[in-house]
Amino acid sequence: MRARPLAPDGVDYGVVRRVSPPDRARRALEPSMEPIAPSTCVVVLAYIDPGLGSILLQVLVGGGVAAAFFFKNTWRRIGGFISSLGGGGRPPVASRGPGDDAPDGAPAPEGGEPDPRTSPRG
Amino acid sequence: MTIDPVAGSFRDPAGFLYRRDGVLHRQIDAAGRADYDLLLSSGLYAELSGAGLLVRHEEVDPALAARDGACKVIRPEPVPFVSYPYEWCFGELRDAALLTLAIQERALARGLSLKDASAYNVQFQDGRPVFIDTLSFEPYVEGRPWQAYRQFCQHFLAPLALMSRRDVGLGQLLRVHVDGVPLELASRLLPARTRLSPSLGLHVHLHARSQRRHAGEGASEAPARLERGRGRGMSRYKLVAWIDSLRAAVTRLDWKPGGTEWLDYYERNNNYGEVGLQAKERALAAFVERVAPATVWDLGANTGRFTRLAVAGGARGVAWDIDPGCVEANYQKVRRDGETRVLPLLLDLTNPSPAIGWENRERLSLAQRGPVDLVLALGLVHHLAISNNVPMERVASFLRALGAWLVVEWIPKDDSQVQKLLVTRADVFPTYRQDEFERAFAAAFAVELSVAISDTKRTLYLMRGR
Repeated sequence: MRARPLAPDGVDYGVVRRVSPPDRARRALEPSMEPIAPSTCVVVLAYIDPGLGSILLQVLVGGGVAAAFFFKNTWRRIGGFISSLGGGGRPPVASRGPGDDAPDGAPAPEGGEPDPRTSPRG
Repeated sequence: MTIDPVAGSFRDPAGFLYRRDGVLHRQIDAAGRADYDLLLSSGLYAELSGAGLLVRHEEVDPALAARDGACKVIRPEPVPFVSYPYEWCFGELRDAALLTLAIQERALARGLSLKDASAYNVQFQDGRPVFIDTLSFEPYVEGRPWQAYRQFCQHFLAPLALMSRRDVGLGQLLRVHVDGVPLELASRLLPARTRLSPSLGLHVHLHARSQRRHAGEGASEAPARLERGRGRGMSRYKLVAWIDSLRAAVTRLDWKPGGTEWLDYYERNNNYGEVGLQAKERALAAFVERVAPATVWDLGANTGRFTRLAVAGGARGVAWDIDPGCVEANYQKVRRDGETRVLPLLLDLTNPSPAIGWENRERLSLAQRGPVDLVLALGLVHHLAISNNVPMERVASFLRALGAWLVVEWIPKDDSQVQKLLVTRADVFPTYRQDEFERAFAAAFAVELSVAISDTKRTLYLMRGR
């Protein structure tokens, strides 16, 4: 059995349906049961107007944001690794990305379990 | 048997909400069936509802559908009170935003995605936000950007940024813009320095610019643009990173109440010493016990001290106040203490939430969401009668429309709080007297009990609606 493809940072984000290029071309030519033909991955029709500018922004800037995300996660892992060498405490504050700041005044999670509804880490 | 479609539920072809004999149902039509089945078979429904993020429902007999074409009918757990984003404080809107992003992340991990990100899809249940639209999910398609990105920014990020970085009162823009604050407007209103912020610079300013730039492109140019963008696509990893970036943007925004007129009201107020305050609480507790309400609205609730007393017997209460600082402090207390019975909301009683949206029926007015069993109007009547010049009879009839029972506090003219309202204006209120107050309220209410509050000149009344 083939292993599931992993994202560039090695994290498994679940089942990723990959369509090989020949397969993609074949499906584009025949009537498909797919809700959206995979080849038109950007051209999609939603029941609300997603906005051309909003779609293009994601496509054009998505790579940069993903790179920042990758470095943030890598940096956090390095921090976690270093702190585990030094006695297993939590990663040093400096290694946490700016997006991981707990919201000021947020209620202290009970029993160390963050509330999935509003925890910054979801 | 009566069937009433919910007027705000019409956009999504996948299905709609209706009340059948007063009980909320959701009909799922052919267009929504596959997505709904995937929500269940993927395990996402069990995960989200188990974690309390998504409203629970039960499937019922499709014969209970409102009209032909139903594939399924579900009965969602009703939320105790439907509130709207323009009634939420900063913290409530931010928690609703974080809930939406948390759901989108979990959905992506199971091969689904949110197809909309409306703030109206979130309600507050037991003191916490919960997602109420079971039909907002669709299969995730590799390479596809987030369809609801624009809506998320308009409904959540833009108003939060304006409230945090410009003025908390700008949350009221959501009352005018029913599909969220236009990003171009938000970009103009935000301070220039926010352009340098990586998150607001991207998701509000650059986003607004991208919308403006491509707005005029017609049917001939748009496909070509998308064609050029297609090569890059939007992989799942990029999408997960994008959602993470939105979460970072939301969590960086903050607003703390401070120095507002009403926040430390009880501490500063010299009309009530500890003796008077305790006497008022005792009287209120006795009144509430007599009414035994299931639902309470506390109008002018401040930080909810008396709301909590009124719901102690098991009722659910909404603590309405005009001051965003009080509502915020109240909400943070609800979250901190895990309270489930009190919902703090923002309201200007002199201009209460109107019915808005399509046909003025999409979002209900304040009165349409009542009446409740018991209305509290403590330290309120002088603000309506004097600050807003409302004739006392009309104060009474307004309060009667909101509830069956009323606890109302009479505050005489020589009270320092009333004197404060008169200090810069002519006293054109010769009838602002206790006997006139009782006469004016007699048309709408019968006085059941009244208690002169010791150590003060104030009187607390329990009245039953006629």
